[in-house]
Amino acid sequence: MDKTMDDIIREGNAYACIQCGRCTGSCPSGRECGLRTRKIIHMARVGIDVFKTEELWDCTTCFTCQERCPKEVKITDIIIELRNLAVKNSYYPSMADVPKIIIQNLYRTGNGQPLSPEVSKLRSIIGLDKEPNDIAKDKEALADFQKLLDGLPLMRWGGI
Amino acid sequence: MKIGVYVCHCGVNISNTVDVQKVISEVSALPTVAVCRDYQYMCSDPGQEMIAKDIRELGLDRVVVAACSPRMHEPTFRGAVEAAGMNPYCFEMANIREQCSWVHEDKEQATRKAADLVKSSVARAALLEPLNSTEVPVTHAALVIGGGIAGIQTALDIANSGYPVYLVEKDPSIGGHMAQFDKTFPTLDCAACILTPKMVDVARHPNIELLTYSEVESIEGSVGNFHVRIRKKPRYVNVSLCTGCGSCATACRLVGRIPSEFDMGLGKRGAIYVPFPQAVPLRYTIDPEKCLMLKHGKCGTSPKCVDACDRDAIDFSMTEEILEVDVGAIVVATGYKEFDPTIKREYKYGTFKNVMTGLELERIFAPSGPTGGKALINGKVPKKIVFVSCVGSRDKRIGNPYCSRVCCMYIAKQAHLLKEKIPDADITVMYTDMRAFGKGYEEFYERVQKEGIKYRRGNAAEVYEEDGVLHVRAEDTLMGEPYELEADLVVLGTGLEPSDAADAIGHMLHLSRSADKFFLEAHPKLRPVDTVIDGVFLAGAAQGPKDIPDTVAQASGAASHVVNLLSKDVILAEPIVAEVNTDVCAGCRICEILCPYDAHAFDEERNVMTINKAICKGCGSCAAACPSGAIAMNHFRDSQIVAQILEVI
Ligand SMILES: Cc1cc2nc3c(=O)[nH]c(=O)nc-3n(C[C@H](O)[C@H](O)[C@H](O)COP(=O)(O)OP(=O)(O)OC[C@H]3O[C@@H](n4cnc5c(N)ncnc54)[C@H](O)[C@@H]3O)c2cc1C
Ligand code: SF4
Ligand code: SF4
Repeated sequence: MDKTMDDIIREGNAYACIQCGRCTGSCPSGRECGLRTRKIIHMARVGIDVFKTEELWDCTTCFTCQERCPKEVKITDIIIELRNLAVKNSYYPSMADVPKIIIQNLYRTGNGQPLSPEVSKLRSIIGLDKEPNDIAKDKEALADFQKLLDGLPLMRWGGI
Repeated sequence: MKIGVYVCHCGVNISNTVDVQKVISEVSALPTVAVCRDYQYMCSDPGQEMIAKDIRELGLDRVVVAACSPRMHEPTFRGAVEAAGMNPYCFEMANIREQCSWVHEDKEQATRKAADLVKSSVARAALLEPLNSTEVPVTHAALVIGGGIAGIQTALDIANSGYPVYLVEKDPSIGGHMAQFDKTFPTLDCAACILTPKMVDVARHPNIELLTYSEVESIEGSVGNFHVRIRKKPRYVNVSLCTGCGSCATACRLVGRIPSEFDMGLGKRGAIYVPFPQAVPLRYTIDPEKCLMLKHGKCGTSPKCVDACDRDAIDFSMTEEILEVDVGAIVVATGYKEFDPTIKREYKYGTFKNVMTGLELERIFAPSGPTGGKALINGKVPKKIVFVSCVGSRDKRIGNPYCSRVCCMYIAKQAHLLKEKIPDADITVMYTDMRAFGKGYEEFYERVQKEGIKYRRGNAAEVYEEDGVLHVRAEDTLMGEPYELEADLVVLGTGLEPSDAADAIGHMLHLSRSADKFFLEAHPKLRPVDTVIDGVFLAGAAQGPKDIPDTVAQASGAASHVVNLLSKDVILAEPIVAEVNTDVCAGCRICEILCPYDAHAFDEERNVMTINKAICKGCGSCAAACPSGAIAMNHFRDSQIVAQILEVI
């Protein structure tokens, strides 16, 4: 079932927010860009269509804010739900913020941030397989995944 | 049987949803109903008079009022019928407001339900029996547990009214947390100047028996007649010989080696100590956990304290004493404990010494504290200071959803005191919301801002260290910008939690807790100092976070309730209690385990259970559980309840 703004706000416990700003202060991403986590919760609660904002896409879903929020607001969960809502309403991040390459990576490997040689090396140092067991390894699954992506407007922006 | 029924409109609270006239016409048809009337406000003077007149003129046997919850007005109407000459237990109440008009919307169905509720009350009323309260004598003395400012004020007020008071304090001195402060908000009164005289008054008062370094062991009995056992812990110092000169403390081999609890571990004491110089009583105490003599039976060649004491006051053979006292009323004033911020890992308390709690900083200001009142943190004068509000308050994650009510103001006070001592200090307060609600508080908040303290809305998110310097990260929520500040002192505005030592007292007295874990008052608005246990009252932070003005007001309130009770020679005990039919009781003792008030006592000789009427609260747990049906609840007999149920099904 599609979630409405109201569902997202209630399920995420956003009405408990006291606007203390511990989330923004904790946000590693917001230090580098315009993401103001607290403000997203505020805008959502007062009925502004926050899913239309670009900042939503600057969150790395590290969950630091959600872990620290004293009011147990499910902040990162809310951000993810808002992104779903944004895509459903055809609001995508502008190309300036989300480079083509991420979309291309996603299509090519199933991951917006594919395994880098550095990470691969680190993995073997700590005794893990060089490559994780993800979709990039499974050619058949990757082909299925690409079928799912084919035709999405987002893919056109990635030049695919 | 002549029953009078009175249906209340409660303004429009009831009559908006319930067709009162329809209820009246249905109920009037019942054979036992002699008269049925309605009125705008039954609880008002004319309403009560209407009932009284009918009792007198029509000779009613029973009265039913259909109105609000009996929790609200049952005592009012019982009083009214009694004044008109009817036994108060022949009165019955039907709740057609909370349980009907307020919770339904469909008028027709609500009216039907209201009529059913009234009819079932009529059926029950017909079977009610007159009950008579028994008289219980009152012991004219009080027990106050906890010697903080709340307990001190309560004890003094009761004692000044002429009644004896036992004041029990678990620590070696009275004073509580207030004794740890240098100044108090918002007037910046010197805490010692206003507290010490009261402490001395307590010690000298002819009506107060001060029992410090003592704990309540057990409490039995009920309102008017509590029997209390108090354990006096051994001080290993004879208090009638000790003059408080302190020669022993300077001589002790462990002097300056043991963290002082009073100084929040920042200062050091020896194994023989007074917590602070103004302690009352000013008598020394030996810490049995640390003293070499008490732990190992040996302290060098001979105990230094003994050698130093001219008065031979030190006595290692001392043992604990049990004191038994009888009192008519009890006040619980067990106070609070400071929240331990170690679990808020992002603030790094416990990792860095210059991240401190509010109470720790209080000791830095105190002239008798670890720095002699100098603003020194780890030997250095801090120049960049950050305060963090709401640490351990308004925080569901750690289970404290409530506001601690004092932190905003003590932060303002501490920021002011630091600025006074270090004029060039850069002080920032990171806060969630500013709560300056008390008299003179808003003005104080304005004053400290004029003194140059920066208030930035948005609470601190985390503290981290880089190259030996602390940094505090936050968002200035008014600007919508994240920022960070360097700090050589971070003060956490730690909140208040109920004292651990209150747990045992709560169990002994069967006190309930509210969701915030503080003791629950009988009514949040109208009975803020009573508990649901008759004769037991609350004062101070034991009931919820509070500043000193509110604590003292509540303490005086509790004292006045105690005095009210003690001024009576006898009180009437509620007759709604359980009774055992000893001919039927099989002696299984199931009821004994269930009773939350310990009202049951087993008669070994006759192999039957007995119930102490003075302790029984009439909760009915035992009556419901008794497999033999040997226990009957007065006023809630099976026959009465069954008649009530049959009428609605
Ligand atoms: C850092 C800080 C600064 C503050 N500054 C101010 C200020 O400037 N102005 C202001 O108005 N308020 C201030 N407050 C609030 C103030 O501390 C409280 O209002 C006040 O102390 C409450 O008094 P109390 O007697 O209820 O509790 P407490 O002071 O906690 O006293 C309780 C006493 O009961 C004793 N006790 C506990 N359990 C038992 C037991 N089972 N048996 C026997 N004894 C027991 C304890 O040992 C203690 O002596 C501050 C609070 C903090 C944390
Ligand atoms: S941390 Fe939680 S309560 Fe504070 S502003 Fe963010 S969402 Fe609101
Ligand atoms: S989950 Fe997103 S918003 Fe929250 S701290 Fe991480 S990056 Fe910031």
